[in-house]
Amino acid sequence: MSEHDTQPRAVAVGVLKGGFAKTTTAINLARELAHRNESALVIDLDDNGHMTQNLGFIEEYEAETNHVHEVLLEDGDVRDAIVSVVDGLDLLPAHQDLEDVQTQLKNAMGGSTRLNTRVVEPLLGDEYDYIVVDCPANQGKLNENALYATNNLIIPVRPETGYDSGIHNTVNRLVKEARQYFELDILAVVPSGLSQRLDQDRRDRALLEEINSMGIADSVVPNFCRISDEDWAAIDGGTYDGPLPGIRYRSAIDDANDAGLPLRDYDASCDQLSCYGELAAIVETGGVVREREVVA
Amino acid sequence: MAFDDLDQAEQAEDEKSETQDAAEERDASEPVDASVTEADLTADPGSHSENRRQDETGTRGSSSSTSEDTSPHSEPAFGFEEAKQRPLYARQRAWDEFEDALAIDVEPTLRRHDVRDTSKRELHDAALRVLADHAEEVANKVLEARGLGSNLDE
Repeated sequence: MSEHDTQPRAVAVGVLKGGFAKTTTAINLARELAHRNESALVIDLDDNGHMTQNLGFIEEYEAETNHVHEVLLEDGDVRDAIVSVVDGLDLLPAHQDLEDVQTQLKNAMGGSTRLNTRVVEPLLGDEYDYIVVDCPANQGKLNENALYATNNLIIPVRPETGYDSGIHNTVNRLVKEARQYFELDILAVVPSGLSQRLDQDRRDRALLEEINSMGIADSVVPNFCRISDEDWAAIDGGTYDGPLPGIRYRSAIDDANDAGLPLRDYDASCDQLSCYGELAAIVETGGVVREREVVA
Repeated sequence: MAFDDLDQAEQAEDEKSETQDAAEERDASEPVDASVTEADLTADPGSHSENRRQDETGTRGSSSSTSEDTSPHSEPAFGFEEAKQRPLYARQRAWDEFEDALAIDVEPTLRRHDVRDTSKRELHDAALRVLADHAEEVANKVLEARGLGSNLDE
C-alpha cells in the first residue's frame, strides 16, 4: 500500500451482492486500462454472464464446449478462449455452465489457484499488463480463484437498500476469509449511480458520509468521491462549488450497457468517464494517489 | 455500520503486516506454494466459518433458526457437491417466464423470510420438486401445447 509504482497488475471487482454496478465498473475500468496502456484483459467469472452477453458473445456463453472448464480443469489454452471486444480490450467470456466449473473446482487439486496458474500468471506482464476480473456475487471457488489470482480488490457499491449488508458480507465472508490464506489489498471502494442532492439527508449522502468517514478513507476512496469535512460544511452552507462526487447516474452509462459497448466507445464525451480513468490509474499504481490533502 | 467492518479489517491488516515484517524476513526462503496447499486443503467455504455465520444470524435478530451447524438464512439447503447438472430443453419464452417467476415472485418471498443470496441449484431443485408434485398439470400443458385439450379429467 505504501509504495505506489506502476507495474503489471490484476484486480478483482467484487461484492457479495447483485445490482451494485459490478459488471459496469469492471468493463469500464478494463476499457480505460486498455485505452491508457494499449491493451487489457477482462475476465467474466460471474456465472450470470451479464458482461459476456451484453458485449454480444452469446455464442461463446452458450457454446457446447465450456471453454472455462477446458482452461481451468482440462488442458485448454486460455489464448484460444479469448475474444476481442474493442481495440486493445480483450475478454475471456463467461460460460453458462460456470456453476459446474465451480463444483468441480472444489474437488480439483489446487482448486483455488487454477485461475492464477492457468490464466493470470501466463498472461500478466506478458500479453497484458492489466487484467480485471468480474467476480460472481456469491461466495465460492470462483470468487476464491479471482481473489487468489489478483490479490487486489475493488469494491463497488450503490446507494440502494441493502448496501450495508452487501458490504458487511463482502468484508466478513470474502475479505477476512481470503486473508486467512493469502494477501489481499483493497484498492478502492467505488460508489456508482449517485443521483440525489447532497444537501439533503438522503441515501446518497449517507453512503458518501459513511465511505468518507472511514479511518482508511484516504487510502481507498478515489478522489472523485472524496469529500472532506470542509466540503460537507460548504455543501450544507450552499457554497460548495467543487465537482459533484461520482460515479453519478448518467443515461449514457446505461445506454452503453444496452448497446453492448464500454462507455468510451458509446459516448466518449460522458463526464463520468474520468472516474473510470481514475480507477484505471489506481490499478496502475496499486493505490489511490491523493490529489489534495483532505482533512476529514 | 458496514463500512466500520471494512475500516476495522483494513486497520487490523495494517497493524498485522507491520508486526509481520520482521517475521517475513526470516521466512523469506520458505516456498511460496506452502500457503497455497494449505488454502486448498482447508478453505472449504462453510467449514471454518460456521461459527461466524452463526453469530451474524443471531445478531440479525432472526428467531426461527433451529439448525445446529448451519444458518438457514444465509446458507443454501445443500452444497454444490450434492447438485448434479442436467440439461433441460425448453423454448426461450418458457425459460424467460420461469426465470421471471423466480426473480419476481419466488426471490422476493424468500427475502421477506430474511433469506437472501439463494443459489440457483436450490431454486431449480425446489422447482423440480414442485413439478413432480403437480404431474397432472404438466401433462395438461403438454396436451394444451399440442392443441389436444387441456384437462385430463374431461
